[in-house]
Amino acid sequence: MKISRRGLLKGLGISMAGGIFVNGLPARMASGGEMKMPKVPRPLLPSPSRKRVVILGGGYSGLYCAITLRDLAPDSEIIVVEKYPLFVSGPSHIDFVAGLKHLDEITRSYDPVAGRNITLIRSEVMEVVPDEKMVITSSGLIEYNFLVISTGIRIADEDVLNLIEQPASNAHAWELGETVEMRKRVEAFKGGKIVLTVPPAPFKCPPGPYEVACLLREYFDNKKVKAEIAILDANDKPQPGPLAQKWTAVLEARNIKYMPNNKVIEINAAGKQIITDKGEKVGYDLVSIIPPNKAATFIKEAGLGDPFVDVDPATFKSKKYDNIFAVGDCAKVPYTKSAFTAALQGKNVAHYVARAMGLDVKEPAPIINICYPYVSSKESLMVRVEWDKDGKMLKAEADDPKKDYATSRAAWESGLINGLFGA
Amino acid sequence: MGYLARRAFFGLTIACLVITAVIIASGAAGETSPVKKVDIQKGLVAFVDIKSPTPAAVYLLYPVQYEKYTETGLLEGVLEFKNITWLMYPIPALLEDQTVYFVPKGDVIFNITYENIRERIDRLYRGEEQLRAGTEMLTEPGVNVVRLTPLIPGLKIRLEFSDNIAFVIAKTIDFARYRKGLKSFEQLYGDAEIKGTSNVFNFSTTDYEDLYVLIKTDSLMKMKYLIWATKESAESGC
Repeated sequence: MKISRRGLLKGLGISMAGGIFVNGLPARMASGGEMKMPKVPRPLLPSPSRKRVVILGGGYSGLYCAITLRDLAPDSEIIVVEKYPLFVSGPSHIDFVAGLKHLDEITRSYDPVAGRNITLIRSEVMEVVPDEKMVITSSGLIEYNFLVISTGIRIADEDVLNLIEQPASNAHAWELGETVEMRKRVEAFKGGKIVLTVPPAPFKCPPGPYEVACLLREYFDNKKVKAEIAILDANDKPQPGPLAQKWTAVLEARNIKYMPNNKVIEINAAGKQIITDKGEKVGYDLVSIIPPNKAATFIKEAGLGDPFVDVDPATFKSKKYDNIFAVGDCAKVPYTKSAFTAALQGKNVAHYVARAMGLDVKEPAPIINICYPYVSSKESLMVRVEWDKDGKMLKAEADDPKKDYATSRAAWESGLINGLFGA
Repeated sequence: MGYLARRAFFGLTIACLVITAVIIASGAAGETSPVKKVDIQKGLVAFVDIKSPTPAAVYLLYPVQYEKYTETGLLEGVLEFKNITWLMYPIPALLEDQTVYFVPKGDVIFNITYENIRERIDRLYRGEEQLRAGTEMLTEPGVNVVRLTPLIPGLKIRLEFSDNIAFVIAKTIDFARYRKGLKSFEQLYGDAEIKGTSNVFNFSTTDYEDLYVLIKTDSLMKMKYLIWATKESAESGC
């Protein structure tokens, strides 16, 4: 037996209207039939008085969804829940680690987004309760009519033995705090062995680990610091797979040792060693382990998918709930986990949310990906992929490193940032 | 083929393998096949099928790695397949023409077929199940470990053993605990959701996580795994 939140409220003679403080939500029945009344936070906002879209995550996909939806559905209430106080552009984490950019160049206040009549709430998502149309955050619960999940990936430190117990042993460019720490370690590095590890696909920004290796090679060469750089890759070839031939040539030319099919399963921080699933022990002076990339645990707990949200790749609509959508790195879609596709997915899903509201909105263009992976601060590769509306790959092309592509990369990321926050 | 006939066949195969393995180990045999260059045009995928009557090693090299190998004779930083008697490995040329070199250490036979990637994806979306990868190898007495990767949701996997054996399918962290001696094979077996004692086992993947097959055996035996792509796996990013 299941008791709905409203049913329970009615039974208790209370309502959420007008923001009445409520305890004891949601009500659930344990499998044995005994009523379980977990501690539930108070409502953070009053119940929706017009169509409310709650977007979980203020990264590229979430914010592009919000601003697109603001245009498509001007009468709707749009709420973005984000745990960080500032926006930091993901692709430039790599630039920051290698000393090419300062953090302030890639950090933006959320104010311009909020200025578009979008409510930004700084809080962490704890739970989604689809049947009750509510999100429980660290600050309280929020009801929704439509939910867009764009929480990105979660770094699964727990998949590498000892990493949770010894978090200070590692730093990488896949999370903001870790990125700042890695930059400090790069600056303090006086020479020796650098080991960078690559998790099994899929992971965020597939060319990223190899870009970091190339940029660190250039950085230390310029500083005349002797660095032996090795990449331990859990995959059988450099990622994304179609760029493997180009990457092997790039890495070889830069004297970066590449070790495919070597998955890190343990770190021994005291002994400065990492251990692979083949039993190889690799010593280091500076290590950057990128643990496996997974999705937020609330997704599985809410029955929305495991580990990523099960969605229709054309509409990003949940396969279980008509009013739930997911985009970007946390969605089970065939698109590359990149900032560019995340932005386009955000724009596209806004169209499908508007349609679900009953608005007459045209079909958006299918997803494409363009990116310019660094091979040095002055040259980038180019890769472009097109999919059809159902997520089937239509066309793909790549090109060798060129100076023009490094320029294109700068414009590419500026375009993404300016599209959200203005120039 | 009946059960007894199958057992007899496998017994004979194992006996042959043992004899050949001993011969190879003693250095009395082990003719090595020449390097195989594989060129794949953009838009095609090459399915490289490698068979060997005896356990062999094969190394996959990209052009720059092959150049280095011809200069130095070193096979560092290249993909290796060890102790195999059969391998089916796909090499897609999605973005540009690809060239790879297979350097065998042992007597192997190559059979290469090419398919159009788009047509293959179309057929997959229409519901056709397609063999995506496979390996057959000789396992030694004790606990053997085989990593199944890369995995995506919706793949179908079949394990075949030349005898009934106990196996466990573990996730990475459990394998790490086993490797470190924090968990025994028996403890893993007790805890695992996917396990068995049989000579054939079929299952489907539900997520992207690598899986480790741990096999406990008292004698030399053959293990084979086959991975099929499905429509569901295509939608997951095949």
